Amino acid sequence: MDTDFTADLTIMEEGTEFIKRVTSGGVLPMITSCSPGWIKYIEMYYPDLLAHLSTCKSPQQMFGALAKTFYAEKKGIDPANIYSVSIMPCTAKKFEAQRDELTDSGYQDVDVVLTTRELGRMLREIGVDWDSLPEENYDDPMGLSTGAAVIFGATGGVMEAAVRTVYEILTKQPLPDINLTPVRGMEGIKEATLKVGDLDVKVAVAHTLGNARKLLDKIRAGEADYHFIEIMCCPGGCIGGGGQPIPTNLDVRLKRIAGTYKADEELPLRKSHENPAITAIYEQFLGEPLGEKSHKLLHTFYVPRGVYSKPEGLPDKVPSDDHH
Amino acid sequence: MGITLREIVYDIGGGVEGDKEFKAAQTGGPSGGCIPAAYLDTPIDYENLAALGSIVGSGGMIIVDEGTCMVDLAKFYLGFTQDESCGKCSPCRIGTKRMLEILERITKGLGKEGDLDLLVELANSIKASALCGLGQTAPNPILSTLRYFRDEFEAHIKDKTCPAGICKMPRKGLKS
Amino acid sequence: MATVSLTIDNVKVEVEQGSTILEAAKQIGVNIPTLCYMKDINAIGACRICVVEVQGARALQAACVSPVAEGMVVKTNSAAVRASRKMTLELIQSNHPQECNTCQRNTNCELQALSEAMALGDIRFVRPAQSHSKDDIDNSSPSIVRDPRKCILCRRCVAVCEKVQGVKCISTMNRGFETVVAPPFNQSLNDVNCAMCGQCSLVCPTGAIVEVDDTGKVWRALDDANKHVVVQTAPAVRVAIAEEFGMEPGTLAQASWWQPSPPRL
Repeated sequence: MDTDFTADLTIMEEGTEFIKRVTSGGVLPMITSCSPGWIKYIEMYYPDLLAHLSTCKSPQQMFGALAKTFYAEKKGIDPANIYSVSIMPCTAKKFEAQRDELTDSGYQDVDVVLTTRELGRMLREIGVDWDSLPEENYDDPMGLSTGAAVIFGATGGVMEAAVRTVYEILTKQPLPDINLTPVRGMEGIKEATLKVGDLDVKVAVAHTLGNARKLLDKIRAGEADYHFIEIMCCPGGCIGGGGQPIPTNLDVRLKRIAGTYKADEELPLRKSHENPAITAIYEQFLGEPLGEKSHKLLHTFYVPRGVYSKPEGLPDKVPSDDHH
Repeated sequence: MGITLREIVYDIGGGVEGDKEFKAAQTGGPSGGCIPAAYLDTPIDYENLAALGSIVGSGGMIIVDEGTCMVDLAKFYLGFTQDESCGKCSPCRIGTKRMLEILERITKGLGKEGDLDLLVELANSIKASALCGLGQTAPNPILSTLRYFRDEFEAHIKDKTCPAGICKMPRKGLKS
Repeated sequence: MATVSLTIDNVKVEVEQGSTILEAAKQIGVNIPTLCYMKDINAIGACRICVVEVQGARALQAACVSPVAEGMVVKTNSAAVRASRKMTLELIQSNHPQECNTCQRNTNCELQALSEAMALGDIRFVRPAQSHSKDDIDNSSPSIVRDPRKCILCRRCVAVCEKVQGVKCISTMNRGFETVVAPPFNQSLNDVNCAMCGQCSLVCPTGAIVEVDDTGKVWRALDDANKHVVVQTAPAVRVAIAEEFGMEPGTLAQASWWQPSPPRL
């Protein structure tokens, strides 16, 4: 099955959370929470800013929680017998999967994480002939996805995917231009202002922790008037992740980004909220975005760590009233 | 400047203690080199010392007599520079260690044919490729002792003897 | 743009002022071998593989950090240069475990490739001391394994951690032959401010920093008849996995895409 399915789901939850924050005076700017290296970094270096993070789990962890609940139920499998493997471009995902709190299915939601390199090794071990592999679709019920999910892999992609959905939910109008080009590309920090109905939504996108730091310092100083920020830990976003094939250099990153947007363009559906499998899972299992079941399975809290030890005066977890 | 090594050693210094034979003058500190008795009458200046394979360097001068083993002396100085290597560039970080290892083997009577060639090759390479002055001059004690006292090195390797009687060699008849 | 003209391997070349010899040589198609250099991230002249002969200079110069000068005459492949590079490589290999066949980076290792290209023969040192042993391997982290035995101290990982990520959880410690890249006070990677991003593993020229290999766990689960293995693949994997099979970066793992059909839920 496909993490892209839960990437679409992330957009539904995160988009709804964003709308709620904007309309009900929640903490802004809201910052994305998909990238586990980034999460550990903010927990260590900016524990006072954790309330800015979206409470959404990463797509990997949403998938993990659903595999041992929704999928198990659907297939009539005892979740204790499900072994959940994820293939990630990322070494920090291995750390994320082991976090104590990511066990909302009643089990460790994701059992093991392999990097792209490790998957390559496994396939070579059994002599897979790349060229003669048959084309296959991902399996249902968590295999269907949209172009919005594919672009999660490139810096700016989550922001673009979120805008495609948030705009249409808020204005109930089709988005004039589906391609949000100002947030694409390798520039360290990208900004854009988008007219969403009567609201001017100011967004920022950063990749690498060095660039993240610049935005966080702005927030700390009270100089950030953004509504929504996307931060990815690695240069270029996940396509340049620490678990990707070697070499990964600027040239390779640009080619992977090009491949990502090409895939998006070729997909019949490019907006998360148009994914019929997403509609179905809300109808059949989750209820609604930010609903009770969603809250339990798809959202999480963060742990103020500090660089050396937990800083004084901060709660044990953020949001502190979370009852996971 | 301009005064000869002999004047410094015998007139100013009062000669070698205990009337032993003058063997060499080590000039310039650990990065310097050794000058043998044949050049006692050389006037001391930058150019002359450089021509002899040494340097003025720190300005220091150590006079050694016949009781000093030149291999052991080279090892002593190299031990110092190896210890002082900062570890940034590979020729100095690893190269000084390897040169020291070879000298240690030779002074234990474990030297073998080809050691001196490798030592010279290594020394010249480090001299040319190290990042800073420390690494570039670290091989000097080896190169200058080899230049004037190669027979002493060979005695250690081929005959398993230390002419100065300093290095502990395996007893004759024992295979190394 | 102010330019400087110089001669590299008897070829006249005009380059932008402030360029390095390495960059200038590239302009005329001369690829000077490098090991510690990494464009935009690490240019420190540490490994000394990129040394070249500059007329009038006392010693060989590291091309990656030496700026060009007007009238400079450079030789990139003289006998002295080739001998020096080879000796430096032999020295590096003399403090590197000779276990390429079982290394995670076998056939994708810059040190191995360079040794092959330079036709490095036997390592001539007798029982060379090794600066680190297997006891120094740090596998405390769930994400990354650090093996100082394989480290050639190029410091690219240090540079990417500090300059790109601003985390600075690893740096060089100790000095001389004992130098090691490690977290402060030689703590475990798991106990320090490491974000586990793994960028260090991407820039490591050897197998000194690699991902934790969990493939064994997955094989065991696949072999277990009682286990129902569920697999998810991340968005960024599909544009990269083909590279593991020698394909061009950005190649999609799925060439043709599904047609929307009613979801079978």
